[in-house]
Amino acid sequence: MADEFGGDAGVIGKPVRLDSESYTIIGVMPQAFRFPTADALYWTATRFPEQEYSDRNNNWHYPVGRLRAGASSRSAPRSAPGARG
Amino acid sequence: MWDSLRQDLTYAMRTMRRAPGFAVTAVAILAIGIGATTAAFSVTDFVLIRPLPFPEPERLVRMYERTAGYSRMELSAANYRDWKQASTVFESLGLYHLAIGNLIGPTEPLRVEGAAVSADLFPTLRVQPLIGRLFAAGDDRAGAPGTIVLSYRLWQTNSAATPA
Repeated sequence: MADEFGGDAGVIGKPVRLDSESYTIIGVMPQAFRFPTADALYWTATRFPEQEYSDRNNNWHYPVGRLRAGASSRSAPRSAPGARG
Repeated sequence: MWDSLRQDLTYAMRTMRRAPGFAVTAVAILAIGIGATTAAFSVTDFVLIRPLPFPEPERLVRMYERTAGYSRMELSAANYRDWKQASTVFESLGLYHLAIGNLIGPTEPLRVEGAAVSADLFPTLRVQPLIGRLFAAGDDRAGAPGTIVLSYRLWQTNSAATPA
């Protein structure tokens, strides 16, 4: 299927292989959507095994938060528990 | 007033014609100066002034860890989970990490950059898909079947052609 997406709405539900794993296409983003940069051409879901949570020095994630109305970015770090490890 | 303006312009043209080297240099310096300023403003506008293309962008924040020796460090999944559970200032919190993969079809494999995102990332940004759906709560659990969302650019691509 990967040889011709070609802007066809019928790609939804079709399988593609990314490296050695199989994925089902569930959606297409609007033309203007760029995240985190214009180079990103696809998004998969993180599926961390429990071991991923055991190492506090394995730093490779970027969190993005939406503040509650009225909260400021200054109040964010203080309310979060300090990084351990 | 128009007369004196016309006289001034005529005088300027004559002076420039008399010293073409000076005139060309002056015009070139002005051109470079205006060009550089415009370029600098374009970057500033894009990076600093233009808001993020998401609803209520002023409420979106990126977070880093501060550790000994690093003032800005990516987060570990463990710390992310703790922050998410304990924090009270966020309406919604998601994470992503960068990825590169070989997208394999029957014809030509395509090397593509992308990102892995938690199911709550797109709702945090408040974005909707053009067609299909985005990730649901179960899609980002360990052992869930693989799901992928395509960018518009990749969707338009035939793998015979590299994405433009």
